[in-house]
Amino acid sequence: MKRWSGFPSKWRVGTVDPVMVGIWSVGLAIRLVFLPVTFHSDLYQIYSRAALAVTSGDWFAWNSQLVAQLVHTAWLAFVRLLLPASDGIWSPTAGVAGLGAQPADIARFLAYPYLARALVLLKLPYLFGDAVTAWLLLRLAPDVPRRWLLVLWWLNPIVIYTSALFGRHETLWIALLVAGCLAASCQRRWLGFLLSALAAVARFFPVFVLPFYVVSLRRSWRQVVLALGATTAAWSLIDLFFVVRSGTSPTLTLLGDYPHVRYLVALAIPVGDDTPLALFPFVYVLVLCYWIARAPLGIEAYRAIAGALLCAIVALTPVHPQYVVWAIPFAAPVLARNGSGRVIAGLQVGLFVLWLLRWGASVTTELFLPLGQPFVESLPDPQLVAAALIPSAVWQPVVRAAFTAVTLWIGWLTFEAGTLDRSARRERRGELVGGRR
Amino acid sequence: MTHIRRCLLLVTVLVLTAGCRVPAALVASLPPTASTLTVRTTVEQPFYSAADGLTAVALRLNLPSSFGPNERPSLGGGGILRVIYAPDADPRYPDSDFFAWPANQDWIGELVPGRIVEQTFLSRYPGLDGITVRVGTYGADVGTGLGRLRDDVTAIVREAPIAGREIASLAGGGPVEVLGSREGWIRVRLADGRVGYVDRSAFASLPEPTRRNDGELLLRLYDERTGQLLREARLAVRDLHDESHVTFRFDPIPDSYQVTYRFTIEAIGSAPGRAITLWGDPASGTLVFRPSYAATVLAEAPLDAGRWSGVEGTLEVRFPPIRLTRDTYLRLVIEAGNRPLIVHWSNVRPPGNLPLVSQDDPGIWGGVVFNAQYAQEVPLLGLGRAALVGAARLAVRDVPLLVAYGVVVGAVLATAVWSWRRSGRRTVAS
Repeated sequence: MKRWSGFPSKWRVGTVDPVMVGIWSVGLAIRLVFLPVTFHSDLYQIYSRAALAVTSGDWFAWNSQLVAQLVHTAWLAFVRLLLPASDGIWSPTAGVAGLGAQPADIARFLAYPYLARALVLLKLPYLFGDAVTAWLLLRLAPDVPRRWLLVLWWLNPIVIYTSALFGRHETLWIALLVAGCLAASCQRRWLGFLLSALAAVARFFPVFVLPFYVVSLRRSWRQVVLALGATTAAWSLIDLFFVVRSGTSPTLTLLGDYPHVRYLVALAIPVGDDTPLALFPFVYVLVLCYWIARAPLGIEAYRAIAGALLCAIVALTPVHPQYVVWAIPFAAPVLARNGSGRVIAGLQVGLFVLWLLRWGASVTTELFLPLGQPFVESLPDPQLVAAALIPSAVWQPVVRAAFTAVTLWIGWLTFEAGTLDRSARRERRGELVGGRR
Repeated sequence: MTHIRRCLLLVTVLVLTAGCRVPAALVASLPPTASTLTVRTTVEQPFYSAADGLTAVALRLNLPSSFGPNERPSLGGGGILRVIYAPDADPRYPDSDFFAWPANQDWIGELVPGRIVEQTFLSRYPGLDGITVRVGTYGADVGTGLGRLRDDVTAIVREAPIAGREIASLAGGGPVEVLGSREGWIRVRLADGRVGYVDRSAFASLPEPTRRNDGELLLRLYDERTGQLLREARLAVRDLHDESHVTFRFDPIPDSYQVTYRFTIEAIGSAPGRAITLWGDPASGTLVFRPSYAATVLAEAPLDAGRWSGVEGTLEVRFPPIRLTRDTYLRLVIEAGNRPLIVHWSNVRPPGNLPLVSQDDPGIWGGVVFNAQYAQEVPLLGLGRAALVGAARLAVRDVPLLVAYGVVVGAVLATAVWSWRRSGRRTVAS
């Protein structure tokens, strides 16, 4: 008699690995613990805007992160039935750029009788994003030690912090980006492109890797031009739709108002005149030129450059360190291969935790506000504890530099693993051990 | 191995039950220096302290590069650093600005016998020794009409009594239109229509008061929790000045930190037309008042005993941890010794956003560049308990969620157990 394995027959593996099940279980348990007891105002703001959209019926009112907002609006429209008497818990000013949710609104939300349920439901899509990404990664990199690959994503404190504690929606779009890779590796390049483009419309990080996708997975240069032309045309049409509808261009709003855009030019070298040389755009265009000139082909090459670029964004711009989560799915298959890679991944996590302290209580102890204000007030502010031990003028630059260095190094490892000719590497290794004359 | 485990367990239990002491700074980093201030006498800096256990203050100052032949080389030049409570700077009591008489506040009406005014408040400092209220006497100080200045003085007219800005000066001996009084100063109208205040001592004659009040005010202070009468204080009504602050003094209460009190004020022996009134806020229904406290020096340390930090350019002075500093306003007093101190100040003020007060340079509105360090007691057991109670409170309020969690956790556990039991067996690939 056949035993039911719990999965469709084509997904079955030879044995059920209890360690894998354990990893999945532990990751899920950790997330379940944190979902109802942690809260950040970012989560509240996006769902407050969603509540405004649901109640007013104007789903396109907030066009700064259109796709992300639409998904949240749809999800809230679905789950609000499970949140009794929740009409008054949202912020009416969350959709006003520059104002956002006010402390009184947040206090009202935290006093909601079904707060735990609300937090679980609001963050549930992120848990789903985490899990789907993990599953896609296992499918995408079958030659990598599976346990370690799963650990480096599913049990990664950076991932858990971003989705379950902070409540950021990044992993939803990361899942799309990784699904795009998987589709491309299955010879469904246009589907992969569509998925990656959708992720890019939702969040700006994938925008930077999209040109590399087109170049790496081309069949001809004509196809590259076609893809870029189609993307530009589609983007312009969407933009035009909003210009006609609301009189404002989402692209120009994004470029003019969104703080992360300013971050991209924050690290700059003074060059004598009024305009400094912004480091990230400089590096980015340089790499893009290299990519076009050398034109490496294949999904491996794309994953390598995507991982490296996403690492570089976090390393060379002052974005919050949790956004390094974008690079993890590309770096994890490389880091999972050997012990040194896992140590570096652990080092990055450690430095991430230290670097997080620089943002103070708002991203650390105050996340536990659902457990009560007195509890949070009795927790020492980690930033002030660090400042009492070592002057901030010392520890912050050191930790930041170390985090940047480790992240860049991971980016390099990812880049090296996917782009350097494997045979050349074997040859070089042979020379080092004296096996080849 | 068993012994090691037991020892580890014992240490863990000890740590958990005793709690631990965690250092914490007042601010994450020192604010940027705007300029320096030469302190020849004293400089004071009030600030808000969020934590208990203040144990060190690090001041950014310039050290002399060389010393004279008769000077003894020292870090602080014999200067002293003191830390005291600053309840007078605490803006959280209704009477937050001595000079302000806002239009949205008003007199509460005559305090005649039988009328009792009651007020509850949280005392945020130890050593409560008085309650200050604002009284009005309906012109019992001075009437309206013409007054005459003394011949031998030039009267300074100020925008507000005591420390207000000078707006005019009046030659001695002349008549002045008197409108009333405030804080014992005479309110006058100038020839150009402006209203100001002149010290009462500058007058040779004043209009007769319009009334005379009698009796006495009685303040009773109760512990709000137990209802026990703690203190009584009396004031003779006839001694009170119109539109002025007056303090009911009583013996200090040493353990008044974070205790809620209630006080009542009533008039004894007054009558309608001979009674005073109090200043209140009709919107909130509260009396405009401020508790006062006995001055307490919490820490005093010589700057010479400080430790110089080359990284931050600060002189850190340590003292035994001050136990009760959480949620209080403290005042840092730096007193120069035998040489002036060059102290840095910044446009970014310390927590509490109050400016420094310098006798040597009164025009600075910034704050002293300093950081403070705390040794905070963190009760680990208490924290763990609070976290569990908070989580339980969330869960109990939502039984369906609790059930759903139980189902999911059960399913996860069952899967894990099933996989462990099944490990090693081969699944049948179809």
